[in-house]
Amino acid sequence: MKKYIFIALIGLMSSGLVNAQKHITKNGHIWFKSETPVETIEAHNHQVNCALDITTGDLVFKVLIKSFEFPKALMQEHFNENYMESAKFPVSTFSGKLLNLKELNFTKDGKYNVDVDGQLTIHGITKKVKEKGVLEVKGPQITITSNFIVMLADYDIKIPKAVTKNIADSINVHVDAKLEKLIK
Amino acid sequence: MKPWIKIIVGLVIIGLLAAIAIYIFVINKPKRDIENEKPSYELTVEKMYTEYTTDAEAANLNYLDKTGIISGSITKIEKSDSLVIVVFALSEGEFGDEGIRCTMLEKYKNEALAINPGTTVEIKGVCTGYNGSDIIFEKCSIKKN
Repeated sequence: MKKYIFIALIGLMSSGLVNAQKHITKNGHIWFKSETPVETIEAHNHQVNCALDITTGDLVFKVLIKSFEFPKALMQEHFNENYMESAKFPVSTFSGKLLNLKELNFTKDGKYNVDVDGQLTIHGITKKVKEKGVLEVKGPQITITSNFIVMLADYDIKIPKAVTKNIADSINVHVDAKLEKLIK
Repeated sequence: MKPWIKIIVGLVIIGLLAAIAIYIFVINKPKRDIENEKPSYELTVEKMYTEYTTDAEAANLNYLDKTGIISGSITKIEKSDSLVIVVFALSEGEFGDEGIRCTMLEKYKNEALAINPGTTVEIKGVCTGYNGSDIIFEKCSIKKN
């Protein structure tokens, strides 16, 4: 009897270990920059959800569009109401995988280049994307950073003619997420 | 110069100045002062969470981008980089605790950090939506402690 309890306990513990391979944050930082000769516009969002499962390489980001903060109220209003239609499409998501998971060692501190492949949804439109990023392991913390470009036309984001000089067609997006081990 | 020309020139100048003034005013429209905005709803964190998890679209119609007051028992206060976040955990999901997260205004950070978990508080802020695991409130202030 004791033997079975022991085996059951080991089983429970190891299943717990397998489940505890998720690293998350709810305060990831995403910011973007639109640069034209006329105007540079930058907006920040510090409320980004990100989860990485280091056993499968599954990577998820969830961003509320209304949480982007602009230097000027009018920019924020136009961004939400006219370009992103954030009442209709309040959330942007990325759901994908780390492609070179096997090359990463999560038990050793260091910086690794990562390739990420997945589905990016912005403005209600989902596109398959492949981007590069850097993953840094530092003790129990994993930091993911990436820079990539989003073409507004790909996501059917229309900029009125009157302001085409002020807003770039391609937007530089920066991602910075410090993930902590999820303890359940 | 004939007097009527003077008048017309004067009017045109006034008109132009007014247009420039309005343009500058619109461009530099002040940011919303959430702390002093009139709240358009007041409810418990549990009720709001239930509404969002039942039907986020319907809940967005009532709360998204609107200033309101929510009340409940605080689970924890989180500090991350420069942010202080008051957390009401109401469930559990893929991102750990799920519930309502309130980012505090600069001037309420210290007050928020001093609150003991379990204390019932009223938080005023603007709802920026539900990301599938949490409802987010921004520019929050503490109403009662």
